[in-house]
Amino acid sequence: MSFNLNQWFAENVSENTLFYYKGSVGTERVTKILEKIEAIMDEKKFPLRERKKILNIFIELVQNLYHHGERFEIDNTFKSYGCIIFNTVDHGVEIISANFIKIERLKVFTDYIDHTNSMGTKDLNALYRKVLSNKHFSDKGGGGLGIINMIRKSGNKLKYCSKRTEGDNFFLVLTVKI
Amino acid sequence: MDTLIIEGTSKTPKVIFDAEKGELLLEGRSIPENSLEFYIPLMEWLDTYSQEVKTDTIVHMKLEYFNTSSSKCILDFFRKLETISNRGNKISINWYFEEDDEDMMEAGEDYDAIVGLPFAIIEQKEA
Repeated sequence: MSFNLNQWFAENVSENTLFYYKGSVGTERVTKILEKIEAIMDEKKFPLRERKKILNIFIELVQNLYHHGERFEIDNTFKSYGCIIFNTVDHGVEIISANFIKIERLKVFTDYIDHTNSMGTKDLNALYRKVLSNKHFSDKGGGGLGIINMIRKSGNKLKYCSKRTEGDNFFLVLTVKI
Repeated sequence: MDTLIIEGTSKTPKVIFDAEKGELLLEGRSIPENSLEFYIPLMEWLDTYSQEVKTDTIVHMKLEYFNTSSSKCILDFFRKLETISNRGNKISINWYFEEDDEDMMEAGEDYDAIVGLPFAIIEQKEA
């Protein structure tokens, strides 16, 4: 059965969802999403420490969609496309971020997540400093710094799954529990 | 030398770089999609400042949030200050974090470990 984006989205939004978005992710949209998340956390009276961790991870994920989210499944002319869902779960919250990705980037990305997920706190901190010091680091992407940051800030391993859409294209779903 | 003043926005920090006093302030959020574009004028100001340093320099980093691309720009900013310091100028960094914001405290410790400048990591209590 072929992948259906709308169906996937509907299956992941529930009564525990505090916020959801599916669509193009330009600069203004990034700002609006972050403002909305802050407003939700204010309304729900999230503790400051938790609020900062959540917003930090949202910034990482939403800007990742802005820089890397592709839309070739829907429209070849448009980039910066993705989905983001904010759910309450047992003892915390989870943020689900999803976007289309080419197979060659998928493997690199998931290998890096596996590698960083396997590390303990001390090694992760050392890796963060090493990557930050690395001069080969573009303004668009952080050479894996974002992944390390999300694991450090959330205190949890990142979960991911991917679904083949068509040809060599995949739909990548990343879940961060906080 | 002119003081560099940039008003803060929801995605970029307030900047006040005062050459006469030797006080450099970055305050607020640094989460623009294109961080490099924001930091270029700051780095250019530092280039000029490096030729005209008249007093000890204190840098006040009062950041609430910063994104991945800003983290690299902030490191480049510190490295430029390190170069100025290596020419015999006294430069110190005050890195502030809000009470209970361990992540921001750790971020300061990360820079302290990488950059050869004296860092004071300062907790700010809520008023």
